[in-house]
Amino acid sequence: MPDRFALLTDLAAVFTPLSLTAFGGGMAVISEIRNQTVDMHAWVSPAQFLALFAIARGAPGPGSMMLATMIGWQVMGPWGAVVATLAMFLPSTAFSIGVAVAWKRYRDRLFVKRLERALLPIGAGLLLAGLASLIRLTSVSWVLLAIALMSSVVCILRPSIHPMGVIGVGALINLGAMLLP
Amino acid sequence: MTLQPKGPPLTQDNETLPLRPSHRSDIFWLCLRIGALSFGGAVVAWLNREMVQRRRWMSDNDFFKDLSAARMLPGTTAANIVAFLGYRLHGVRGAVIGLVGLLIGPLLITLLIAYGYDHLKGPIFDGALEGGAAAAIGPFAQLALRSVGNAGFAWYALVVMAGCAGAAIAGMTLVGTVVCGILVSFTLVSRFGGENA
Repeated sequence: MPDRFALLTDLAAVFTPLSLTAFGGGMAVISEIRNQTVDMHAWVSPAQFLALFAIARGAPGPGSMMLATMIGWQVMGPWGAVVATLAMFLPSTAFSIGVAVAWKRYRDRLFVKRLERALLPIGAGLLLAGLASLIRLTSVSWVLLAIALMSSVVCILRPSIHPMGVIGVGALINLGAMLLP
Repeated sequence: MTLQPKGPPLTQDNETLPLRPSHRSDIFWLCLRIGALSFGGAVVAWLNREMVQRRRWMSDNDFFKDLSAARMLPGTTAANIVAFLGYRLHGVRGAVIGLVGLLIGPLLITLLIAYGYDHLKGPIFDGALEGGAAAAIGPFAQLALRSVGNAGFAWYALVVMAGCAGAAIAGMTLVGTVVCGILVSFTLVSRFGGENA
């Protein structure tokens, strides 16, 4: 069926370039995914996109990849989901493996050693910035903000605590706060 | 729940402890578990916890080097760092095995959710989702602190750290922040980093 095939190539054509330009993690291209899938191709409505985004964030795994999966599913069922996921994931990952190989080969060069040391504080600074933006996202409700701050304190004081436990308790607290009058 | 793996206790400072070997199948099963259970996107923090703090397959320093590279490259940080960590442990095969493990679970679960999405919608589902996502910030905060400690407290490291954090918070594009950061940081490390840098 040529129509279905064309739709699959469209999906691949949208997500492959996004994969290779997603500097700073998948969340960096969320707005571009929205432009392409909602405005240009009208595969999903704006409201649908928001719902899919929330689910992709809540589902396990990398959020942007799972968003591609969900949109692919909306466009063309399981095959659409598989094609969109691979298009979002394969190019950037193949590139990463290639860089890892090259990195190891030149590891002992002075230039690479300096680059490695130079990158460490940059990574740390970006993590701090990411933390700030995540905390700002939760400030829509004082319950969410309190959950975020409490879980940060707990995880820093007790690094051995299991993430799933922390997340589960957070979900329960927010549910409890919603259901209380 | 049987999520707690049997293993040595977490260590606060494992730089001095010997590293342990890993098997390829260990990488697969660990990544599968982390991938399938990583609700709220705490993959990197969890990887650090399991691979460095608990299993000591590598040092914090190696981990955060890989994390810096993974964040710089395009694509999801979680997938990129698994490619790097897997490669560090077992070459290209390790990278591929880790990636398949990391992604197969979320993919199947997301397909299930996509299938049943209309039945799950509702305030209860959304509320649990939001609460869990907020709580997932905790492991992220712990990771951020570890990474600051690992980058060290030399004045030039602190300058770069504060500069990058500030630029990113102020809304500078990531590519711009990283490029400026590398230029400044590389210059400072070369000039003030001492003999071994």
